[in-house]
Amino acid sequence: MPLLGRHNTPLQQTAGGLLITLAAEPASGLWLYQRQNHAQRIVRRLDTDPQQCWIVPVKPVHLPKPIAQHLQIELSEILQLAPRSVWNGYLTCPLEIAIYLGGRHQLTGSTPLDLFSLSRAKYTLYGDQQSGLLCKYWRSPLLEDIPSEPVIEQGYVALQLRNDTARWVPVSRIVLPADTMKLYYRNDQVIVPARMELLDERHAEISYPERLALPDFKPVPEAIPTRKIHGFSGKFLMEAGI
Amino acid sequence: MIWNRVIYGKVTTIDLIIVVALFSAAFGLVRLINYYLFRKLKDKSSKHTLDIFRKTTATLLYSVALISALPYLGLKLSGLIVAGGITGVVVAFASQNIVSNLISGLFLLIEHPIKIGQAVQIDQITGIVENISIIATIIRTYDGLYVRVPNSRVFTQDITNYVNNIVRRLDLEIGIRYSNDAERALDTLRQVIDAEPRVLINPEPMLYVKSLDDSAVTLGINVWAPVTEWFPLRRELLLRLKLALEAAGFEIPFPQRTVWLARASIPGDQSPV
Repeated sequence: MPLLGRHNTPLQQTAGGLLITLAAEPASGLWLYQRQNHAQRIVRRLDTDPQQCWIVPVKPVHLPKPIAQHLQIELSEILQLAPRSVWNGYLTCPLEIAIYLGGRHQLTGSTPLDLFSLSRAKYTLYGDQQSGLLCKYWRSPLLEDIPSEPVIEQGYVALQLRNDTARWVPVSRIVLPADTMKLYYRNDQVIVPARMELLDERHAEISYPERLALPDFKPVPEAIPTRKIHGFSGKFLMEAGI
Repeated sequence: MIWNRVIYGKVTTIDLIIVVALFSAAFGLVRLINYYLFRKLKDKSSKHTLDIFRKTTATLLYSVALISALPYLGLKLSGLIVAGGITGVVVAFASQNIVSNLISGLFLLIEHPIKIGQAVQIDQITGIVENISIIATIIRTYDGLYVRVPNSRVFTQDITNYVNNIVRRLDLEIGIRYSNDAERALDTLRQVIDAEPRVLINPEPMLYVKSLDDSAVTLGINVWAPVTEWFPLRRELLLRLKLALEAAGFEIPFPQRTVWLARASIPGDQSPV
């Protein structure tokens, strides 16, 4: 059974080196939530049976501290994009997973019981020191396709890179804003669809498509759903270099 | 006529009505301007700044109303101007510091070099800005003291704002023995730096041999961190670097000096000098 999704209690889930259990503790009558991965062990005691439990990916900018609102993915090798060309491929990205209790159909208004990540966390600065952006940092290879075996340590960005200029443009990084980011999942694979439109050799526009073209992927339920604001395109301009 | 009835001196009923009308008009204007200011500036200015604008506007308008009303109350402005002039000179001498603070406060509100809640250093006083009033700035020092700095001092002194930029550099120095492998020590430090999430990838961390001192080879470490994480990082990183160096077999030397004692040579003595 996949780790991600809605589960009934009691619960025992394993994935990679991760073990999550939620069960009644006979001695105290309390419900015990436990997460164990490598040397880390988290225990929470609950006074009632939550009956339902959601294990869902969240926008990967909360850990180790919620100090960044953007994710910068640096490409392990520079991609040279030909004039008026389109590249469709995948990048890896960090994955953060939240545990929510209750909520039979939706998570709106819920606060997570636990939030963790098996991805390595690092931060970087995009732009200058006064007006730049603090970003969560990730380094990724360029992938033609996503692997068939799900890995809980990382997710994927389904990226469409479009060069409408009349020049070759080198691309070494992409900056994704978290506020309008949408996540999709299938079994234990998580995908963030994104589009990067190159404006010139230094500027690019990032947007998120309304739908994911891949079959069987479902949108991740959100505790604070992203709403479309009238008159706000949701596009992000990378103006400190690509 | 009731309108021309003398109340006192030359002041008639109509004069009193005009005075009331003037103050009513000033009151209405103050309310109108305050409402307009609130509507226009509520998202752009802090509540504190808005309050200052409101009070200044009210004071100005009521002063205009009072000066306009004085002739109707039988008071001659020419006499008041002479008396006011003398009083003004006296008051000006007495209140030059207050005026200086007031004007400095206005400039501080316009320039915004510091904001409430920011960590700053002003004139050797380091702490968190608690309040910026029109006369003085209140700072809570890190050891919990309440310090009131007059705005004229804030305005004329050098201000260091520790949190104005989103990132800040942390500089550390660690000494190792001359007999230690400096390259291997730098590698050990680099592993700790790379594993620390709060140390930024860009600007790139710098690790290098900083100086060859009397008792130690000093290694320099310059890393950048989010400004909100700078102090916790500083508190934790140095200890972790020390532990990593110790675990890798390095020793941090203490100052030492080799003293050579000269001794007069004694015939037949074979011991080293």
